[in-house]
Amino acid sequence: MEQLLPEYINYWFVVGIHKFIRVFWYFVLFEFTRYILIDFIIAGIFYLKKDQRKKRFEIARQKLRKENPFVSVIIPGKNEGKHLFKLTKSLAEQTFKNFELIIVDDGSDDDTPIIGRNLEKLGLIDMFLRNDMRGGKASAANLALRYSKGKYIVHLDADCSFDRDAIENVLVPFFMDNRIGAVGGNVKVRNYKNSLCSRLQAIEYLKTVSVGRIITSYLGIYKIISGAFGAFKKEATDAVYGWDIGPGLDGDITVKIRKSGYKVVFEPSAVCLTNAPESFKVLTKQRLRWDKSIVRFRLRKHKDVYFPQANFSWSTFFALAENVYYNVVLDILWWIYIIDIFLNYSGSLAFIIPMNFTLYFVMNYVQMCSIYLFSERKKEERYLWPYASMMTIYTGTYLRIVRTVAYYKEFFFKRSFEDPWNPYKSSSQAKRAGL
Amino acid sequence: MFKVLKHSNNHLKISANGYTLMLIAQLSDFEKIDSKNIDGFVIDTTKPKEAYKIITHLKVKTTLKESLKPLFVPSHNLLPKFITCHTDGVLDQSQLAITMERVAVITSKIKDVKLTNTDNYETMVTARVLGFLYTRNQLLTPIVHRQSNIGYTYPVLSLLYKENEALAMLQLAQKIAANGWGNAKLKDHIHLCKGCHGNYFNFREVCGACNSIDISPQDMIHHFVCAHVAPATDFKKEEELSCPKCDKHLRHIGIDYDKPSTIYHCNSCSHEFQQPKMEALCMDCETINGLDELIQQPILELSITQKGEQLLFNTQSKTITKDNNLSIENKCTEALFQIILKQEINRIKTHNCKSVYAQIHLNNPTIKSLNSIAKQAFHNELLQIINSYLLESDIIASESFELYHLLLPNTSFKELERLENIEYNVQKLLTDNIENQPNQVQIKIHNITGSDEVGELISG
Repeated sequence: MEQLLPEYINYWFVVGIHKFIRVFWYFVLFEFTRYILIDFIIAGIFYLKKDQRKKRFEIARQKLRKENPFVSVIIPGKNEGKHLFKLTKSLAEQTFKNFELIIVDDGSDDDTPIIGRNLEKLGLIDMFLRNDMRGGKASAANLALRYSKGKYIVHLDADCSFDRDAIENVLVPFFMDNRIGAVGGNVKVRNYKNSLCSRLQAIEYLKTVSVGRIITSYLGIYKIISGAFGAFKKEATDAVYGWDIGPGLDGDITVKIRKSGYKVVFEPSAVCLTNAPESFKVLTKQRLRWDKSIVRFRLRKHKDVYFPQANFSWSTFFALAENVYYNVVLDILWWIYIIDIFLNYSGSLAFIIPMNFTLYFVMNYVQMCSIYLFSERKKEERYLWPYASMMTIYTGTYLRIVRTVAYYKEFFFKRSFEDPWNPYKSSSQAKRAGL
Repeated sequence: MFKVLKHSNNHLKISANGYTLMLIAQLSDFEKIDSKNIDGFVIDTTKPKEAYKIITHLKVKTTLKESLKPLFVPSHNLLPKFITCHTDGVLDQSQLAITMERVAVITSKIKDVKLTNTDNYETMVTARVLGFLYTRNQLLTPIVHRQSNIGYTYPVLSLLYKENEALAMLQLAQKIAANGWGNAKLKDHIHLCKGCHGNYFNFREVCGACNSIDISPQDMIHHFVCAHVAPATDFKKEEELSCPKCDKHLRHIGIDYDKPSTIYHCNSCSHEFQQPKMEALCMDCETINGLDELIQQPILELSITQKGEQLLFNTQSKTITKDNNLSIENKCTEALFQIILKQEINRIKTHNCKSVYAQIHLNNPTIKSLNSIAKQAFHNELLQIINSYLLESDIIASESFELYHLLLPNTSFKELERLENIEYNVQKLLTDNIENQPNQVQIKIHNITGSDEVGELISG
């Protein structure tokens, strides 16, 4: 070790900057640019415009309070009965009170209907709708939409809980710009202390959701409103006829709303906590489903956004292109990079692999700094700092492999249509219709 | 009508094996006979109303032992079951010997019944039911009876209660079982109206928001391909179904679409809901009952236990009912009252102040003969009236509806307006409800002195 370390350092001093960039082109061109450079530039702009933004937000908040619009909070789901009472309690604490609560039970086979009906009788739920036959999450959300009376629709997942001002904050952006049709809430992991798997996801959520979406929203290319917490103008959801068959229906409706000419933004102060999978087995299943939806929706269903046509929009184009580029294209490039290194630098792997890990290690902690800058829960999130060192394996290797498998399965075999997450009767029809 | 075996004193009798049965054609026949010398009766009329009067007279208005005497209907008689269930069945002339053996058994068992003190109504009913069970050695099995308010008629027991007292009757049956005098077997559950205790209902679905019955159900349609879900009316285009979201025709249920649920629309208030509220309209008193408001009661089959038999063998009814166990809310017990009264006497002895002790006594035999539920209700009502006129510092004790002790501290004889009000209102309550019984309320007033004895005051 005493001999290896000086030799390792000496090697990287000797190779020079050109060879360093040649060897680590993937990191320098893509990872560093996107996750360090852009993040910190935006963070800087954000910091400079902090007071201005705060002022605009407060003015919009006053407008919201003055108008006090009626809002429909809709929660579709299957077998979510166990979460419902807690959820109603969490919503009862909200600072924004003028809402109706509509829960749709999508063919649950547990005690959900009994619990739901009781809560409806007790007045904790305004409307409890049940479909005896399961139709999938999109159909359940559409049913709720059909009976909602609010000017705005807030879509939630039943297993989430919310900051007291979450609903108010997610509605504020509508009063900042009339062209905004949908607002995404900030979803964070609640059970981050339960397992290594959930800790790593908590960091990932902070990077991709909390910070990542601030960046894309600022750039006007925000493209996914999480199903766990998002708000929509009723006129916008009516214009796109609600949700289409999933999986990946939350990203799909966001694109549909963008294509209808509305702006879509992210609101970091509207915080919702959700439970992430606690085992890698469950996480793998979830991610295979999510990643397949990128190919299905971004590349197939909404391929029209890439071509000039009447409703062409550069922001929608970039929103989807960014998504496809950083997920699909970079995933392919990563494999090319691996092959390149093995073919051309197989003799230097003993120097390259440790340096690669070092670069990602440093980058992870630099990213943690950007998370720290944007976060409103700085103290709690310090707990996650030691685990940032493991993100290289988690995102750099594990998630990449899962993503590759998902893309392969979806691209060549359209496996998302066979996902039991959606009932077969709907998926088969959607597949036939090419949706 | 009946083959007369023996004609005596212008009345029809059937005699055999030393036992005599009297044929009764109408109620007035009872007045013409000396029933002590008769071992049983036979209903000799085909008119159900007349037969019912005869049965009711014998089972309700006679003494306990008289009421237990055998009562038959002739074999050719086609009286309805709800009447014959109170009798000992059909008297078949061809098997007269067997019938007379039965009469002998019943008569001998009646002799075992010693209970005579049945001045309390509930005690009287209990005794008659237990007596019937003991002498007949059979189950008290309620029969389904459409004309009954509760849908069932109990042999004998139903005769002892009016139609609108069905709940008290059912509770007595439960009490017999609870006290160990009878074994109970659950035959059915019934639901009674909160207003009249009847059980003839029209169950109907109503709007949960405005209670209107004008609601209409609609099928929900789920279009598979685009996940659109809405009521069928949204999809209807003339005769066809067309999706409002994707404009496609819906042709085949199960392939293109399904109907996952139903939704109701209220035509009065436009409320939309999936679970209509159920309510039960009482067809007797028109009271609307929520399902959770219906009074559920068990219909029990009863048989007598050894403890029940022992009750009949005793001459006094010690434990059947107690009138003095009625609860008094927010008022003190008689024992506590005596302690407070004693303390008040001591206070007066020391401080020479003025206080009054009053005793309200009700003397009404009609109330005494009421069942315990009615008595409890009456007692509560009286307590409310009395309480409403008392000052916060006054104290009341009452463990029976007949007697009320009042302590009115710091009150002189000139300040007894509240007692006058009490007397007037209680008197009014009684005269409004019970006719022809004047001066039912007596109030004794005593100015407490330091030399009074608690015992003497209380005993009056």
